[in-house]
Amino acid sequence: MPHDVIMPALGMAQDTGLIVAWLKQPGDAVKAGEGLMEVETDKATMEVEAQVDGFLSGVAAAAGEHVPIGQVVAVIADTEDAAVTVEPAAPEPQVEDARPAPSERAAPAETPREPTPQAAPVAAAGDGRILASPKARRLAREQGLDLGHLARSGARPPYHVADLEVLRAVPATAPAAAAATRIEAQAPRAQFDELLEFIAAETGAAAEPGRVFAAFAAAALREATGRETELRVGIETAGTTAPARLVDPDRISLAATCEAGPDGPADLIVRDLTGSAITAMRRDGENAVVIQIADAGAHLAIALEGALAATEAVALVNAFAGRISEPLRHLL
Amino acid sequence: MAEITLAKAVNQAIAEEMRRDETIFLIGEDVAEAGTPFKVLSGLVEEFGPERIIDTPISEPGFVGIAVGAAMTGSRPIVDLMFGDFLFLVMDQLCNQAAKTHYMSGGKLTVPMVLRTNLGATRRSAAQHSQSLHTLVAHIPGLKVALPSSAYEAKGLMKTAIRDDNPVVIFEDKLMYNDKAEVPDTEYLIEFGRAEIVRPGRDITLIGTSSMVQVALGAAETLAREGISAEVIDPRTIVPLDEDTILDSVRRTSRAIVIDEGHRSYGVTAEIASRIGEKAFYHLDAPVQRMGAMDVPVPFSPALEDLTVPTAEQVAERARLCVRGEVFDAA
Repeated sequence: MPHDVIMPALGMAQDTGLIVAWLKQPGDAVKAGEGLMEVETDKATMEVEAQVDGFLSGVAAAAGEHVPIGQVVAVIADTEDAAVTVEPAAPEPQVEDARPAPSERAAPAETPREPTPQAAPVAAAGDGRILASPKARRLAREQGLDLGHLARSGARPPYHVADLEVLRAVPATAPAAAAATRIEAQAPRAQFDELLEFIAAETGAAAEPGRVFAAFAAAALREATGRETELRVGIETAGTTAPARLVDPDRISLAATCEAGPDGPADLIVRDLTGSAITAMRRDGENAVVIQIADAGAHLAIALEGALAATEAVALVNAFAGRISEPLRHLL
Repeated sequence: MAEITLAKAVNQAIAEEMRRDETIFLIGEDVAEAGTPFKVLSGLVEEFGPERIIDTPISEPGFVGIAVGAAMTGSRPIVDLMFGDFLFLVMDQLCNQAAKTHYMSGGKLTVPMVLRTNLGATRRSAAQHSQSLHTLVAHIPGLKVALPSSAYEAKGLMKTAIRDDNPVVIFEDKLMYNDKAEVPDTEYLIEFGRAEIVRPGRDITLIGTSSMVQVALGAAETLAREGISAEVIDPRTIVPLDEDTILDSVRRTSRAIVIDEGHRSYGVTAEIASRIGEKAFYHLDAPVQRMGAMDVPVPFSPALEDLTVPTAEQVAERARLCVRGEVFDAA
């Protein structure tokens, strides 16, 4: 959550503050307590400190400018990527003779700070748009390169054609991937099969188990990791070559049919081996978390493999197996 | 080939055409005995006489109106407007009459008139004699607009303008009258709507008009020493505009700066930059940049006046930022 930097009231009878100098440049990393800017009031020059950790962006007032107190002069973004795209909030309209006390002004800016835990995982790029020149974007598309890799590698946007050279050299894996974890489990399949029959009866078409697995897996991953952002799930079925893609399968109707989704790497791959003799398969170079489901008599065999912390992996498999054995848990 | 000044090139072009075609006459203030304040027309009255080189009282609307009428009725007048700043006085004659007569007469009348005038600051002539107002007439359909950047262009474009059956406005840079360039001994014309690639390059396209062609070349020279290869393009006429040459270049280089001595806002640079944005968008690796005169009345103070016009060093610096991918929030 971006944090607004406001012009503080430093004097008793003060309407504006003069920004003498910025001590940080847009895009610079800042820590809470570090000096951001020097402000001159009618009496003295003081340093204004950052209230939170992050990256300085959205600088809306330059050195030498007088800024009304309470006005947003910059934003501290959570990520370096976001630092480029975050726009400062529009300045509040000036109201003559009715200036609220500084504490009231500051209040709204304080609120978003609270839910930010100290060790929140930094989501790569988040919902921030990747900034790239039109030509770089076109060439990346033509050459099948993913500009998202550049963002995740820490390269600073906007990206130009020259950055595509760097992109070709960036390994496809996210940096510092956690060690791979492998877990196998089994879940009774009776209720799951009933669910498939129910869907088939409701829609008049045979249910796709892979589609339902994808929804369960996405929901289980969110439950295990607390992830809220968009999830791209790849669905592979034994015997078919073209994998399908779904975005947020857990947030759309289970009966919705599987369509080819957007290109790009998947966060999670669901490999549906049911109805085939194969019980497990492994492919080198897979970076996403993979959940495989295979027939095992009255049970479904579940295998998870991927770069997840062991606790998260266990929570994910438990949540997934729980949904298989009691689909109502998913629907509720 | 002979090396002559831009003033001499204009003089030669007019004299050659007047010898060729008796319907051509020249009219304006101080054009005969004085040969204009810039001495561009010296010697013409001696050769062609006061019947064809006509001095007028100080009344721009009057003599431009006379020329428009003469052009409609069979003559081919060349009007000398002493300063481009005086365009404001002749807007109706030029934009409502000359530009629209062919259209409004259903093609029965033509206005084969040339209005030659000038542009350019840094001559210490103050705010009312230093403007570059070509964008005003470029906006009006029915007028062609030529911007010679050297003696060679000045002669070839002037001869083409005189032979054109439409009204043409030619702006000469008043600081370049004494600049010399190689001009062929034999007759030549320069077709309108054909840009010149003055210097080929790979990394960035500098589109300069009139006086700014030299500025762009200076920047390209500086950049070349730093390993940046800049292509310099001179559109030569902004109406008609040779869009293809400009777009081809930008598609190769992926970057462009448009430089023109008119004011930065709402000008020629805006027009060319937006055409690049519209038609070469997916080839751009940097935002198209515009450089022009500051949006202020041209100051009389020499120190201040020099600050208002783009310099080769400023163009080079902007080009460096484009090539390094550092233009993110340029003003």
